[in-house]
Amino acid sequence: MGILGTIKSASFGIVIPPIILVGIQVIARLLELYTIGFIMTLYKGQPIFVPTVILWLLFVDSEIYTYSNLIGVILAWIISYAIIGDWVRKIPDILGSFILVYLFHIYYLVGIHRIPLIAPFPQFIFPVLIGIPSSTIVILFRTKRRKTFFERLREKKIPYDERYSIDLKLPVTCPKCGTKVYSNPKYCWNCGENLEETIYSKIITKAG
Amino acid sequence: MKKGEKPVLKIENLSFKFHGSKENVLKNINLELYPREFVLLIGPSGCGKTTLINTINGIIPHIIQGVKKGKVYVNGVDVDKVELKEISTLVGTVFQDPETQFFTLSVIDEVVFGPENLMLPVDEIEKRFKFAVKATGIEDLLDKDIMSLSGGQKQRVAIASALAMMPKVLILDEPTTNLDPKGAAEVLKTISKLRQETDALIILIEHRLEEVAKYADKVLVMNDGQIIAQGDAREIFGRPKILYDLGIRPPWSAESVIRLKNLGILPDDAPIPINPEEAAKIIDKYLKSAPTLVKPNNLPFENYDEFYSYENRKPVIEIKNLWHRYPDGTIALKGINLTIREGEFVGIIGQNGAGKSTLLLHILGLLRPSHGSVKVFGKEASRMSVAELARSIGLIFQNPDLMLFQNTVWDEIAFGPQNVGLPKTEIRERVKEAIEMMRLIGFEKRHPRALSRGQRHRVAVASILSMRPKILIADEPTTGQDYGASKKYLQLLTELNKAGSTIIVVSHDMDLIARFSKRVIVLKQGKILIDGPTRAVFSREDLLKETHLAPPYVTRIGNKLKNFGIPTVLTIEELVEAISSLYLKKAA
Repeated sequence: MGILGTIKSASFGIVIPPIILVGIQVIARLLELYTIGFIMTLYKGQPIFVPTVILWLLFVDSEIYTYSNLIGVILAWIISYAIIGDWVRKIPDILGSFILVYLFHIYYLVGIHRIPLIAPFPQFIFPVLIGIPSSTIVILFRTKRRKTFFERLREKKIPYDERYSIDLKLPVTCPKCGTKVYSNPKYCWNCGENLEETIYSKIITKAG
Repeated sequence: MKKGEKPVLKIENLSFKFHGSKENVLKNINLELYPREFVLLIGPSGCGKTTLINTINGIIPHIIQGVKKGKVYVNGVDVDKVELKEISTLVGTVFQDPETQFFTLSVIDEVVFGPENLMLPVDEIEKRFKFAVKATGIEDLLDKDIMSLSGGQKQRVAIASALAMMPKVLILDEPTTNLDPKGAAEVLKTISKLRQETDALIILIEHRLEEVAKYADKVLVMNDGQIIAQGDAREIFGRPKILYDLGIRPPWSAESVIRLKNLGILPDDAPIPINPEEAAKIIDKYLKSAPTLVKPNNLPFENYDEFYSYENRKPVIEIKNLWHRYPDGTIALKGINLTIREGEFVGIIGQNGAGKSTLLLHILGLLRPSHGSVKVFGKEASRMSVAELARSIGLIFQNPDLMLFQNTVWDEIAFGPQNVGLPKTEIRERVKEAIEMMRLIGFEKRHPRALSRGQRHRVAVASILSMRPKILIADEPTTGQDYGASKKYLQLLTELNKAGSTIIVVSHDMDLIARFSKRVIVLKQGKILIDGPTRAVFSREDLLKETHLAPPYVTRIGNKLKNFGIPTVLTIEELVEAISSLYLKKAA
């Protein structure tokens, strides 16, 4: 995927988690989850706007450092990558996207709002630190190597002709009469030669 | 028929029309048939065969009402005057689809169902059960669950359950139509045994004339509600014009000898054969006694140039190492590799369960490969949207009723183009074109379900044609159609092919595949057995046997005459041309 994947991942990473977080916030309020200690407050009670949430995600304000809000942020990242996981499958793309997000926020805070960089770990590193493991877990799960069809057959002890599991390049040429066939039939239509035995066995032998 | 024996079926001046219909479907039929006769009833689609048998088995008038005149007597009993349950002890009927006749889940229960419902004593039920099982040879199926049986096995169970009623008349209405060649052969073998096993009158409606003609004592030819000819098989098949005028193909065996007689190659008194083996013997005998023969060179149909010409065309379907496993564990496709190119006309043949339908479903994008890929016009079929696929590929189902859901024929045909947002003028143009192609002029306002099966099939085809797909797939397109309708339909596909469409036909009808396909792919148990030019594939009788398939009847006749230098022929015309070309007198 390369650079395109990284940019795509960054774009999704910037946009989707806040939207999810807004959704979580709304549901938490509707279900009155504060009664069980799950409080999600956005940026000092201001209306729920996505840009506000973005800022909030950066953990700029220390008043919102609560465990429940932390859970909310983690959930937002996990759900986001569960959704976009089909488009972003490589860990380097994810890491690259986080770096881009980080750089974007440095530019936003330092370049636009002129907040000086005085701490070695500015607060906006927190969402990045939380986001990386959350999304990595999701991506690793999604990209976990699935067993191949033939591995599953072997696992279930279902017999199959291994010769036909080999990828062939068409056309197939009959070794006896030279006729070309644009499929993999058992017999040559021209001379009746048994192609299973000749072509497939040769391929298996070559593959060792 | 024994001397002085009374007819078991007597029909007097029978006419019938359905309520609301203007015309009689049956017109003044008179008929007398006797015990132990085996009668073959033939006629074009819509001529009234099924209506006639429904008057014999009591469905008319007890279930289907209409205006009936005349009388039907079965074993002396007037069918109108007794209840259906009494008629069911006299007449057994086996329909095309055996599953519509089953009431139970096990073979044994199904066979005894009828006698049990007659409240017969146990020993009588047992006696009938044994008789029915022996007559149909289903001893090895008794411990099976009905739904696990193959098509041919199910049909044999259906015949057994009808026989267990010990009917005086046994009617078999196209019992092999839905079966593959192997299943059909099983059922026909069972039917041939019935003559020895039962005294019942057997009435068989069947299109596979070559296979059944040898068993028939009598052939009745129906058209337009009337019996227009009756006689023994050789007499009827010796007059092919009657059959051709009705769109019925006579057995090629008979047809080949008649054509050779007409050309003066065979004498007028040469007997009329009723199967390929007889035909080959007759032709062989006369050719051997003929003046010196000169083997012709290079008959026009003997080269494969056209087949090779497709190699340079763009591939439209590319299948790579396709495997498909169903959730129940069945592996239906096992490593299929296949390229089909633009403009090809491909026939796919194979027994039921060979993987033909699964392969089609993959091409249509309705199944995802368990392994491998299927590309249509370069894109993964399973990832294309329905709309995209519908524009490129048209599928005509085997059962046209599954495709019909509108209230008029016009709406049915217009549905596809309307749904892809074509302008009204273009929709009108396409619908008119499709109606004309499928001979549906005058049916535009009719309800599709009110039409005959053949007509419904034509509506289904028209509804696909109006989409002008680049690939057209026909799944068993000739099932339930008479020869005339089947031939016209495939001729239409040929015209579409000449205009550039790629055609894929899946069929058990070897004659039509041989006549129209340029390439044949034979599937066996999920793999490709052989793939090549039609002529080459059908010349390999030895390889086709591996999957219980046989070449077309005409090809079989020609293959038995190979010692005369006859090449592999696919049609009656080629056979006659090959023999005529051979029959040359050497110059003195």
